[in-house]
Amino acid sequence: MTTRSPMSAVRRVAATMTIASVVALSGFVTPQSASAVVGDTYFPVAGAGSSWSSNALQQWVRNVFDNFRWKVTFDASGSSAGRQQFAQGTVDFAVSEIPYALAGSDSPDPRPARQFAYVPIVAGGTAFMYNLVIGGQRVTNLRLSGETVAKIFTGAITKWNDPAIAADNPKLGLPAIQIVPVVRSDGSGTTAQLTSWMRDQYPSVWNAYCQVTGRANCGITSNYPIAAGSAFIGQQGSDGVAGFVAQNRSVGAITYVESSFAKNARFPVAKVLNSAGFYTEPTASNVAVSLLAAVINSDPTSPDYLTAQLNGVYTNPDPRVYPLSSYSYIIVPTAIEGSFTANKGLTLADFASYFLCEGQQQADVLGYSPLPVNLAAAGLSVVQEIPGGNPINKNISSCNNPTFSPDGSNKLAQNAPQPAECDRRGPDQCLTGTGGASDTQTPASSATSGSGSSSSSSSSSNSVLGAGDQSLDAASAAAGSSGLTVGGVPVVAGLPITIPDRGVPNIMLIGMLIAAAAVFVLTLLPPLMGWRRTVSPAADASIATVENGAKVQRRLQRLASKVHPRSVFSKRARAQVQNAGS
Amino acid sequence: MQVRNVSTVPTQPTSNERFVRALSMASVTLALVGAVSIIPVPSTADAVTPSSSITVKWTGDSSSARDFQPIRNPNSPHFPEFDNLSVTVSQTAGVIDQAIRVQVSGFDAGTQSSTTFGSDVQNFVQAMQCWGEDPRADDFVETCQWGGRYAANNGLGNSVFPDVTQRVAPRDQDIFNPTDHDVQFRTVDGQVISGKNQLVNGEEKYAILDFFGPATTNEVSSARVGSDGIGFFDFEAQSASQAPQLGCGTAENLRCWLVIVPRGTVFGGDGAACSPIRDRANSFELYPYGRANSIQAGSPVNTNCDYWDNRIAIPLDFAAVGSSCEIGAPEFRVVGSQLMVGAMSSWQPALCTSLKSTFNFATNTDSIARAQLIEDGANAPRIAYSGYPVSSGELQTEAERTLLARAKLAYAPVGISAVTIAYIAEFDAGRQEKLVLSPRLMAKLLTQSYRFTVPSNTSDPAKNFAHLGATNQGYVFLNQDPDFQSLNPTNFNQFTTNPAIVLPGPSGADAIRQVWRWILADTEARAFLDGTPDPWGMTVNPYYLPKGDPKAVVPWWLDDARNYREPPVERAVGLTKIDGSPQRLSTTILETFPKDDESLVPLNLNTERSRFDSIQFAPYTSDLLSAALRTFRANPNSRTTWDPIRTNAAGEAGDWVSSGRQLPGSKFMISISDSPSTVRYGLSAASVRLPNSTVVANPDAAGIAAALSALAATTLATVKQVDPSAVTAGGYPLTMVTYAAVNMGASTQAQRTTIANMLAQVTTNGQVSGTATGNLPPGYLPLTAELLAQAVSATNLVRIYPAVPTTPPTTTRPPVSSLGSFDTGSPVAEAAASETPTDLGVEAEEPAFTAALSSGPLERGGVLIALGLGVAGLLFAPLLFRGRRQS
Repeated sequence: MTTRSPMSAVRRVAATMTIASVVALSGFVTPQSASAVVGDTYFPVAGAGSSWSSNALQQWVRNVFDNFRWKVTFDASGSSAGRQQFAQGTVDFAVSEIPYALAGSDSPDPRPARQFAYVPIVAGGTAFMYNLVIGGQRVTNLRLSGETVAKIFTGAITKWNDPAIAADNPKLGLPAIQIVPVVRSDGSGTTAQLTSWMRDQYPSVWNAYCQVTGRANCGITSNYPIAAGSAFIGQQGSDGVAGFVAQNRSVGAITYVESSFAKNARFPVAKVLNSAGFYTEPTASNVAVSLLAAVINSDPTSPDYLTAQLNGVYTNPDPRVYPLSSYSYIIVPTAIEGSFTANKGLTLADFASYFLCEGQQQADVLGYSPLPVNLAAAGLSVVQEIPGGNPINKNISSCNNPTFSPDGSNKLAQNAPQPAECDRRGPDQCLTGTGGASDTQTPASSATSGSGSSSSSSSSSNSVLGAGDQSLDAASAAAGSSGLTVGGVPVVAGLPITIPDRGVPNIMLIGMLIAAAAVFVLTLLPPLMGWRRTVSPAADASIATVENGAKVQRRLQRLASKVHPRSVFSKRARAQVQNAGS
Repeated sequence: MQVRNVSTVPTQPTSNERFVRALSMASVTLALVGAVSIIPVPSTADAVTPSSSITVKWTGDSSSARDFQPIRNPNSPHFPEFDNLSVTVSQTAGVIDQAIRVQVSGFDAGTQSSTTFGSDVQNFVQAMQCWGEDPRADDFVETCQWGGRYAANNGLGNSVFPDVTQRVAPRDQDIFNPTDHDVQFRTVDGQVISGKNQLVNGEEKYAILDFFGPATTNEVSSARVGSDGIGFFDFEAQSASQAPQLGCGTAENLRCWLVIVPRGTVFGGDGAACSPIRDRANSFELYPYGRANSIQAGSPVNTNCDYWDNRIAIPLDFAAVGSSCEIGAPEFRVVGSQLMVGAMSSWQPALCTSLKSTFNFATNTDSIARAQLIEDGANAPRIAYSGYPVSSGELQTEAERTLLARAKLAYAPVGISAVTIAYIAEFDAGRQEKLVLSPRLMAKLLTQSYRFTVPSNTSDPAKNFAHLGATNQGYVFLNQDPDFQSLNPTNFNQFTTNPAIVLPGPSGADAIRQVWRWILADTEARAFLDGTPDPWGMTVNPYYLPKGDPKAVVPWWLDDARNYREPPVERAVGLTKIDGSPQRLSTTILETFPKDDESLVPLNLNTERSRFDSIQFAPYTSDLLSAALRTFRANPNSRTTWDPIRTNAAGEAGDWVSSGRQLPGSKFMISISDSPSTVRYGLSAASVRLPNSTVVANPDAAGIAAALSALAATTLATVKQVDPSAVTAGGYPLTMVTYAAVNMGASTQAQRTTIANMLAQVTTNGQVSGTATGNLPPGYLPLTAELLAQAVSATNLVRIYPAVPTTPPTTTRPPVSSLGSFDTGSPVAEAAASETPTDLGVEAEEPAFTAALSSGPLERGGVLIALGLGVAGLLFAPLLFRGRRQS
């Protein structure tokens, strides 16, 4: 199907050898010139595709125009649309999470007639962004095992208090509200990544669902199937699914989306259980570690050169692994065909070498993970096949990739921190937040919660209705607030649980009061003492005043003790005490 | 410059101490004044609109462009239509990649454009950019960028007769019956491209698209003219960076041309050589030359038509395309507020030239940028743009509070701009430039309280709107609302369609907070949000009432399995906080725009298999910039049209598809954007009412400047932000100041030097208004003297900051809950201590942190309690003595 020339194959072998030598740092770099013609003017290039990578791509596109005057436009219309437009020749490049003609796919998705190659563009984690509230507090430390995730997105688990979820979350008193899985309604590479993982890891779960939805082919799909009458919600684009979950009313919703979208919306993402028995989140360093196990097609003669088999990532035994780590590709032309010219190749090649190297420095801040240096190096070799590209600045030695370390290993992965002990599967559970809510702790809320949180006042407004009855009538359910509706009827039911307050340690409260009293006394005492010394005859008056002073002091103490321990005010005061002590 | 400070010394110093104090104060003052005075004085507000505008008359022109116009033939059938025509262009010098406002006037009255059948439109103008040297030359047309919309999906719909998009006539495109007529395109470096379809390697190819196409061309196919004979549009000038084929702004080619071709009612060709259009009224004969009252068929550049002879050529003198940064150089990262995108685009290349440092700018949610700034990891940003200081209120973990307490932050004001309600409104009678909104009207739009903001289609109109108030249901169009009419008394009837509302989300932004602050400062808007009907009876959408409000109920037609049922049940709705308690919009300043109406459409599924909701009906756009872009493209992106042929996600036929772009002549989009993006995309910006006032303010330089009198302290006294409720007459309440927050403590010396150099440049040259590289782009206001002084002192702080301790700070965690800092002594000392950051690990003798320095834990409640008590004691103590004396 491809029209690669034998010459091209030879070049690719040479290129791979170059990479190998670079990665091992055992040799010098020979730039491979793919094309005799180098473009002389930077012409604008246009692309379309993946919304998974768009948060990074849009920033690069703006910065390369500002800094280098390379005009690149990108329309995040979804991977499927991107591949289609590239095949039709209406765009100069596409960005996609999956290659054409993916093995195991449910649709043929044939390779286009035009010549092309894949270049890795950015790595990241397909994250599970969710909206869950327990006892009036947003949950930010949810943990899910892979099987639970698969069952949630196949409708096998429908309530948040399902025993499987409870087993993952020993310190959360989960409410019996409906889980609303939010899936992409457009053709999406993120969907392909999720279904690829489910199909590989939990084939029976996936196949059962796939058949329920009436799919003839249960392969990897870019188009998420929704069973009629289910609680599933379909939304367009990554902004659409993230936007739905981020609504206050969407309590109970969960979606799959690149973690930058959760980060930007300040929402948490679920920690997913890996094969080492740790629940991890898709941090930049975890993704970097995970991808060390990706099997990259390193056969330059293959039409799928540089695409990845992620099966090894799913089961990577390192405790830091986030199982749904992956990277997406930019699909670039390797021949002057259609409306692609050498001048456009000049722009595209320089843009690609920018994002493979310097651009990866931004990946972490944006919610992605920098491409590992081996992929960046291999990517650069493919970039040299873009006709019209300038071979200068296209080798790994001049590449400022943040994962690069002199011994050829992945610096980021090497320095990646090990997971906390409380992230291990078992009775303990970390309380710290994740994703875009990493600065928000979740209080332990289950009966089994261990030490740590004193159960001071405020079991307050427990929003979740009591009574485990799930067939509540519409009116009473609606009155029970938070919870998504299925068919318009809010499905709200809950277990009566006690939510311990985050609590102000008494020592702090006391400390605060002592401090306040000390200041008060310090300022009051000198004049009082002076006054006493000079005015002993008028004893009555002085006693009265002292009594008054004491009254005021008592009143102030009472006032201070009334400060609600959960109020922002007291939180700040507490912080002050901590900071002051440090 | 400090020599003169002697004169400020008191002639009769009463004591040495006072002398020294006065001297030092004077030197500090003078140093500051001196520092300010060596800065080039930024040109003031009027420089926002450069004055190189020009007006050119179609005939008898006397402007400086008169020699560039073709000689008009009084016998031409077009002459009587165009002889009063004139064109005004807002800017012709220093042009960069930007929008240029073009106004045409003098079309015959009463010949307004018609869109009844789309393609039969008459009386409009077309525009394009050309690079040739002599606009009177015969081959000048070959240097013009036209023909890029001769492609599928060109976004024009039937707004214009189809063959106007070509360079030649349709008969010339037939590769099997080739003609010898062509209107070639020549690139600036001499390549000649056919303007026709050609057979290349056995395939049909239209080679123009190699150079420019529907997504990249700036040709204007039809700009509308109003009933008064006046119309205007924004032309997107393209420099060599965007359109290298034209090369405008390169050294050899600084002058390019804006060419405007008026189209009236006369046919300008002779039959199929120009256009194959046929005459329905005359037995389908080809149009003859000079036919009156004709559909405007035929290409403006085809020399077999004579439209080209009617052109007006306007010189555009481009600014030299700035030098670019060194490829492959390591970049210095800046994160934060979207409001700085426009400025950074201008500053970045200038910084490369002057500092030899390449910067990049990643926008993200302001609150996230603030959290990232205080991280001390090697990969964390050291500088973030933000409208507010980092505050402990936003940070909730002990770890982050510790980081904040340790952080040494400086805040330098870098940009003054405004959040805008950006819109494009183009109707049959041309574009509307005047739109006034009040806080209440904005509240109505944001709460989906109008019919047109609720998901609906033709299936069940009565039921789709049944949850809205009776008055609301009566307003089919926005301009039927008397509230809208009274705000826009002179032109409300011109807004003949409903707007699509484009809101940024789901990510939050400080800019969005500013919109809510403006709305909630207004008594009427708050009352409306609380459920009180406006004077005409319109009420808020019940989905936006607090939960439990008796009016927060809607009729609901779907059962548990989402099947349609009749009659509907009554369903309680309403907003809740995270903890489930009712949320009152009138008292909550949000940082997002929620979409809370849960309506699903269509209620009764027929051929459709799924329903769309509020988000699919009005999708979010990722940020303020993309909101402007989407508005500019007039693409609401809502997927509410059922396409029975399209394959849906489940592989079945039929899916919801986008209804496409709005067409010329019926565009109405309202978005939340920012002032630089609004200017950049040539959008109109609504004027707004001040809260609790009938005074209207404009988002222009004067309005933004006047709003600065309402700057009020945030959690830090020195980081001030405009308080919309305190803005007085003339001030635009959505004005915002953006600060560069610098984490000095976590930076290396080299990083601080780079940051200080950058700040020094962007607060001096970067505050000179203009379109040249490195200047402050239109839409921003230069820093005021006061803010500038603050920026200068913050920059100095960054520059002189001492090196960080060599031990990594993360290894030592400060002990918790010691009472150390409380016993520092008297309340006075306490107050002083609270002005400087609690000192952690860094030596005590630091430079005086004054002006824009964050103290981190400043706003802690504990300090307040202690201070309150102390001050009470202080006030109370003297009274004790007084009481005694009186007795």
